[in-house]
Amino acid sequence: MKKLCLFFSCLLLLCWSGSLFGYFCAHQILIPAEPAMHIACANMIIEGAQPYIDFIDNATPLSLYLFSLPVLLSKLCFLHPILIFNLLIVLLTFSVIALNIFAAMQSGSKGISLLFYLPALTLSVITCQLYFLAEYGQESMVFMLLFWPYLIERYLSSTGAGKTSPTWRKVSAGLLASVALLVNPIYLFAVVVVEIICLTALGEVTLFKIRHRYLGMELLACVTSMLVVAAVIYFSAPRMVAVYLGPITSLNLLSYDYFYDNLGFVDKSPDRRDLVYAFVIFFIMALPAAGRCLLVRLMCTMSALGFIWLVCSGTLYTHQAFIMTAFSLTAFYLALARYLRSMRFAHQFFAHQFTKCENLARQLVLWQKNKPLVKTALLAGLPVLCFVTINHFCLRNIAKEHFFSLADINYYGFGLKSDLSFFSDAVEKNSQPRDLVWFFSQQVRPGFPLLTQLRRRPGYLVWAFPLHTLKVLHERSTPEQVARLTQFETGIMDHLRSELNSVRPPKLILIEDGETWDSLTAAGICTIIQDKYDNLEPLTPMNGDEIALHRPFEYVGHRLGFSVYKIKK
Amino acid sequence: MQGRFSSTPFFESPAFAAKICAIGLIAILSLRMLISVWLHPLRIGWDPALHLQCAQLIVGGGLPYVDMFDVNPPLIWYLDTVPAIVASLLNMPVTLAFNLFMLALMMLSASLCALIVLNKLPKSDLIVNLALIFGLLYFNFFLGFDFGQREQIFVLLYAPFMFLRFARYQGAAVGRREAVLIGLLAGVGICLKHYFLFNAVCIELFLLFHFKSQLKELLRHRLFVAENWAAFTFALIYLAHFLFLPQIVKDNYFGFLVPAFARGYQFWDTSLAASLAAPDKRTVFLLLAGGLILALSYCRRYKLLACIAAFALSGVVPYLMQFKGWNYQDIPAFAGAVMLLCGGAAAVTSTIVQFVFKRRSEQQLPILTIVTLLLITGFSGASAAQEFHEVESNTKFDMERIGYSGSSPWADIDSPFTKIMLDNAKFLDPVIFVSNAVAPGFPVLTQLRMTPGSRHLHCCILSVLQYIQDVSDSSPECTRLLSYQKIIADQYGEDIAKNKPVLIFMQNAPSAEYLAPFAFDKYLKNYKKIEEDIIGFSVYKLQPSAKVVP
Repeated sequence: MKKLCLFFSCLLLLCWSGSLFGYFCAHQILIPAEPAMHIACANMIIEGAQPYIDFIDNATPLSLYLFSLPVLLSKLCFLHPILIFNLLIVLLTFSVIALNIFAAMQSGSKGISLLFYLPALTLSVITCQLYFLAEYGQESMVFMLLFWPYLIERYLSSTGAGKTSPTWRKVSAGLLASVALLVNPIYLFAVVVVEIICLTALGEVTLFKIRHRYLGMELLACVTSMLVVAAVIYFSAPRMVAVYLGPITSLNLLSYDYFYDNLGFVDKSPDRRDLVYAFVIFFIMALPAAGRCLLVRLMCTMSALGFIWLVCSGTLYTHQAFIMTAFSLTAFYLALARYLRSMRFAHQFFAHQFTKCENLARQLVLWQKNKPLVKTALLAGLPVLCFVTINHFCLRNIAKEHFFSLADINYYGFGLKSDLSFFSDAVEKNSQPRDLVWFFSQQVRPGFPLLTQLRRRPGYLVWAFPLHTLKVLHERSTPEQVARLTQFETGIMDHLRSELNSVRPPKLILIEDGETWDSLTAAGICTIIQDKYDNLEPLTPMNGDEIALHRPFEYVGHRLGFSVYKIKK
Repeated sequence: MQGRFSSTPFFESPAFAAKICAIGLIAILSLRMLISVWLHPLRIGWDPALHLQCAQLIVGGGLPYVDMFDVNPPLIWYLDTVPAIVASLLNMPVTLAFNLFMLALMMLSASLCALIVLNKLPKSDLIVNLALIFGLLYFNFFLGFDFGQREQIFVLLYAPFMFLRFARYQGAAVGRREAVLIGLLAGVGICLKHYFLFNAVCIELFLLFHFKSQLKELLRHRLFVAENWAAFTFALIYLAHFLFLPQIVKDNYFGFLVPAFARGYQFWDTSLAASLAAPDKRTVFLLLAGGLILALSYCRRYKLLACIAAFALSGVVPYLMQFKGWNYQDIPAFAGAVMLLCGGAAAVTSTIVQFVFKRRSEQQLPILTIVTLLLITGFSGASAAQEFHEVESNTKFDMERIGYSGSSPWADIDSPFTKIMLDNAKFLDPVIFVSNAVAPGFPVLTQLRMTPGSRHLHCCILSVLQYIQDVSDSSPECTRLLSYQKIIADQYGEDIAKNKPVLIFMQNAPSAEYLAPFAFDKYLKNYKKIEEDIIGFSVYKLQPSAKVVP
């Protein structure tokens, strides 16, 4: 049974990795909005820009710097950075599941339960990624992957099964976790809560237990590397960190305070109640097992944290529910594995079925053991087979005219028109690759992933997220709060004006009607635009052709149109 | 001296100390609530006031869905007949009787839970389990105008059942009489709203998976047991009673109200963000998540915490299924969260005590009891004194004006309509609020002891029908339902002609617009418009010439 668990997990891992490679090689420019925007930011960083000083975004510095890796690789091999980014995430998925498998293999007799849980763990990662395929590569998914090995190591250490684990595995789990925690400041709560759970799992707390079971190498590695990374970032770019911890953090906190009032109307936020229902059901079904197993408890805790993060997000996009759903599903799978095992002992019928399965498994294991060539061929061939099959099925029914070559934007490969975001025709027609394009809306979509897909550059204001908060700030805040951000606000508008009047101004400007337009008008930006640019046909996401051609995207508030301006020749 | 005290049963037996602790908790918090109820004899929320009004009409011989129109199932009205009868017998404000009734429910629920905790659950978990009972009482203090909602009644009636089911699965011996009583109470609670069945099913599933057992044992000793039979039997009787209702009641309820609301209840739907993440909503869910994490930290040792966690979390689903984002709909989640936080805090205290004194925390129970009771008494006393001063220092309403003795804080009955109602009508006078929501007609009508001048206590149904008209197809069923628009307008006319309400408050939009196509103005010919726009309402007063002296 143990070997079957291992074999089954390895098979799943290889099939899934192969399938994902196949899928993303077919969809080379498919990416959710937020990672696409971070790729655009990373591109600016590679070209020498400093985050929050040369461009404005609200992600953490580490998050932006991490995205430099696919951009750098793209510059080396001339593949689209989106493709490289997706393949890197596939690689990360592979590594994380492989680490799981290693952990199960190396944890000895005390870690036998982990071996038993292995298929459930592998399946849960796969199920979550499959269900959230449209959100592949989102920050929440990256966090889950990076933090996952740490949870496993904490489980092994706290239950006393981690003594035989090699140090490299613990250290790498700690390092990955430290990166995960620094990707977004709200994730820092995860380590606190996980440590509370591990501490209470010790039962009666004694110094011996703390020393031998609680203070694991992975915890020390995580805390140390977190401090080192934070120190390196701070000392290498103190001004950038100061702006991030100052106005950007203030804006982020204010956006939590200032609920977007328009969301009070019916259907004005993505209705993912199904995910909340799933969380509730999975959590409740996992709770009985949580009392008995620390790993289930840890997964439940992470899903409860995911629920907190979802509620605090204020917008409730699907990707913001990922952590909640993914961890609750994992907890449910683990619990299910436990229940099946207990049924085996409690009920004759189940015992009989399990014995039959075990016999089959033994035969299978013996068979593959006696045929190492077949085994190798199977393990090597299966991912290739999955790759080819998925790639073929993805491209099978797509007409020739829906492909386009990425050579136009100086990359190898091809893209699918259906993978492009809304308004792609207008942007392609009215601007060139590497051109500066302003695409201002209250949300990342629909400006991104389009700009990254078509290799256009965003300006200083990557997206118009501060405008709403700053507007509400003037309406609701105290004079002290307003004073704290006035200089920052003036700085943004000055930057926009100087960008418009520079030698390389934006070639194309798209501004969302309503609040974004009003804010820029009040700052006098729109007057300059109207002087220097030709007004083109306005665009709307409600246009039937756009809806038919592109994948739908989630939206909060009202679906507003865009005013479009092209620079005068 | 010390030796004399330490040899008393209180110090010698943790179980005795736990008993004192439970009695003390229930007594102090109930007394605190009693003071609050007594200081605010007219305080009530809009929905409880509406249900109370329906109960009064039933006590007076009215038929549900004939003499009073509302979509809610009638069980809450039957339940509210208890305070309605008590109020009429003792000539006290029905709102006061209702709040006392709620207090009695609180005491009953907490006492039953305490009996189970003290007699049927492990002694090693006493501290945490008593804290859960504290939480069960404590959440009621935060409800404000939602005090008395069906969700709160459900929590109070269901909690002893949950504790008992937990004890049953743990193998405790349960007497048949107590099981039947607790089962009946739970049956009433679950039947108040069909959504509550979800919570009960979740708890049962949790217990089923938590405690392993052989199928035979499971069926005989855990599932088919007295409390389940009692709850199930009550539900069956409740369902069966609909068969024996007069045909006109069934026609109106199942032939019109239920199908109409099934098609048009989405009129009040909101967005998910507004339900979960709005600043006035998210606190409950953040508390809940905090409580879940605390419960997870200690669920290995204190198993009841996990059960309460399942209950609290299951409260989120009915809240979102209703999708209105109304605060009271998350009361089960909130109550569960408060219980979890209290239980979790007790578990943390227990760990600290154990770590510091190197003794099992149960052995410290007498000391903890004294400290806890002193603290709770102190805080309750201080907050009661503060509330008393607030009430004393604010404007009061003399209840003699509505036929009772005593006074009530004016703030409790303050609404844009209170003064105009008091100036233009006497108590028991018929008054109509034509409004597409329960508020603002309620609670002011119930508080000021006015009689509803129409069978339509509100006209939510018109919004529902308008929604059906806007979004539905022109199927025969829709056409049939929409034909009720005229019927409702005519019924309003009949009621005005028959009851001659002294005042009519007409919501300018959208209610007046709904009624305009049916020439509703003709029913108002004996009325003079005395106000054009009080928060969107026109006020009509009956002309003296049209009054009929009884």
